[in-house]
Amino acid sequence: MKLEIGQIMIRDIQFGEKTLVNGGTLSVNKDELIAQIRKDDRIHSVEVEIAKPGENTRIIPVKDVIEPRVKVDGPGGVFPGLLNKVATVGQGRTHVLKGAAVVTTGKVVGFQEGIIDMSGPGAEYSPFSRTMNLVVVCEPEPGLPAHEHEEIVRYAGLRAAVYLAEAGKNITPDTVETYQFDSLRSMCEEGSSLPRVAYVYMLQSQGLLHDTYVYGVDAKRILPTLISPTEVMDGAIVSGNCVSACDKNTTYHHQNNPVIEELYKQHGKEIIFCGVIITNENVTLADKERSSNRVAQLAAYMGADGAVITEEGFGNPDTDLIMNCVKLEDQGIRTVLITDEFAGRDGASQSLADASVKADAVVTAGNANEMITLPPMDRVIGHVKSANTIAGGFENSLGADGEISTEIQALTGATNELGFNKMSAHDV
Amino acid sequence: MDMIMIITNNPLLGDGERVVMKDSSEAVLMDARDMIHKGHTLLNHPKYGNIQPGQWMYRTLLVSKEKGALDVQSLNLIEDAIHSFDRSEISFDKLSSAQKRDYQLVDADIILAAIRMLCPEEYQRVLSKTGRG
Repeated sequence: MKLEIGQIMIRDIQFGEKTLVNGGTLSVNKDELIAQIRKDDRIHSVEVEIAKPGENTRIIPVKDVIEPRVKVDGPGGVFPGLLNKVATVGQGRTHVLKGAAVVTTGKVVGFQEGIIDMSGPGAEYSPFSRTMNLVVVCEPEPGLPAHEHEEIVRYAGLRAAVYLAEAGKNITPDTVETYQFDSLRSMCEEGSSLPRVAYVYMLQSQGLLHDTYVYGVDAKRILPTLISPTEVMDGAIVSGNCVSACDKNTTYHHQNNPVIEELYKQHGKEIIFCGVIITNENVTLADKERSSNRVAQLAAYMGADGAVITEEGFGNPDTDLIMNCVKLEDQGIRTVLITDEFAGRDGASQSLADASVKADAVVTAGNANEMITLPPMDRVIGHVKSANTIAGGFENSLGADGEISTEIQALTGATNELGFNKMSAHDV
Repeated sequence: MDMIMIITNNPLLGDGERVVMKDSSEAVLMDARDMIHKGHTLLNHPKYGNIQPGQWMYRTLLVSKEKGALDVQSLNLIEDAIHSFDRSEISFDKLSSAQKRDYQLVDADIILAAIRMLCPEEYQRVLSKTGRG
C-alpha cells in the first residue's frame, strides 16, 4: 500500500468569484460553498467567515477542525463511510491544501467546546491560530435533538473541506511525500535487528459529543483492530468529539497524526514501524477489559517489541491508558505513553486518574489546568457567552469587556495527546 | 452481567425498580461506595464524560445487583473519584434550566451507551424514559 501526499501550500484565503488555488491563494466562491453545506435540509442557517493568523479574531465555541484533502488517484474518496463509499482508502495519491483549515462552530450544548484566538497570548496554545481558517457557523432547524445537531455540524465541516479540496485536485503540489505500508512480513524484513514498534491509537468513544468514527462506524462498537497509517491520512478516522477542547483529537489531528509521521521517519533507521492498532475508550469496565485484552493480543501477534500509546481526553480514558500499558508490558512489550495532565492550577495534584509502576516512560503534553487570561478581541465568530460554561471556563470567566480568564483546557489543541503542539516537560 | 442497578441524580434516568435516585452527584458517589463495600461491583468508570470533577452536575453509576467479595478495582475507582470531587468549584444554582438540561442529556447518553452494552432490556426502558425510545 503506497500513498503519495501532495502538499499545496496555502498562504492566503479570500472570497472570490470562483473556487480555485492560484499562487498559494485559495479563492472561495462563498455561495457555492454554502450551497454544498446546505445539502442537509435539517440546516436552518449557514454563515462562512475567514479568520487569518495575526487577526484580532476569536472563534468560539469550536467543534471540529478539518484539513481539506482530495483523492487524486487510488480507490475511494476522503472520509469513507461518511461522505464517500466504504472503499479502502490509503493508496494512490491525495492532495492537501496545506495551511488551510475548515473550522466548525455551533452551540450543540452549553458547555464543552473550544476557543481559537488568531492573535494574542491564546494564539500560542492552538496550532489552528496559525492556519488560514474558513469558519463554518452552522445552525440546525430548531428543536432537533443534540445528537442530530452534532451530526449536522460534523457533516457540514466535512462537506466544506471536501468542496474546498477539489480546488487542489489538478494543481501541481509544492511537495510530494511517499508513505509505504505493506504486509507485516515485508515491513519486518527490512531490518530484522531493529526493534518492532506498534502504535496503539486510543479513540474517544464514550457517547454523545464524545465519539469518533472509523470508516463511518461508531468507535465504541469496534473491537480493537489494525489500520494502515495511510488510511488514517485519507480520513478513515473522523472526530465527532466536542469535549475537552485542549486534548480532543480533531479530524485535522487524525489526518496529520504526528506519532505516525515520526514512526515513519524512524522506520528502517531506529525501529521497524510494524503497525497501528486502533482502540476505544468506552465507559464500562467490561469494555475496558475487553479492549485492552485485544490490544495486547494484537500487539503480541504482530511480534511488537515496543509500543507507543496515545490517549484522547482525561479521567475515564486514563484507566484505558494504564490497562493498555500494563497488559502490553506483561507481554514483554515496552511502552511509551503520551498523555496530558490535570494536575490542578498549581500543578501539585495527581496528574492522571490512574497509575501503575509499569508506566515508567510517559510523555506529557502539558497541564490543562494552567490558567490564562485572553484579552478582548475586536471580532468574535460564534457565541462568546459560551466562555462561561465551556470546559475549563468557570463562573464569571467572561469579563464585561470581553476578556476571558480560563484554564488552557478551553483552548483547542492546547495539550493535544498526539503531541501536535509545543508543550511538554522533562525530568530534572 | 445482565442485572444492574443505576445510582443517579439525573432525572432523565429516573424511576424503575433498578434506579436509586439521589439528590446530588456527591450522594451518588457515596452511595456507590457503600454498595461496593457491601460487595457490589462497579460497572462503569466514575470519571466518565471528560468533565472535570468540580463540574460534575450529574453522575450516574452502574453497579451489579449481585454481591460477592469486595472488588478492589471498584473500590479504588470510587475512592479516587470521591477524592477528586470538589463541589465548590462551580455554582450549579446559577446555571439556566437549558444548561442543566444539556448536562442531563450528555450524562444520559453516555450512560445509555454503557447500559446498552451491559443490559439491553434495561436500555430499552431507560431509552423510552428519555423520550427517544
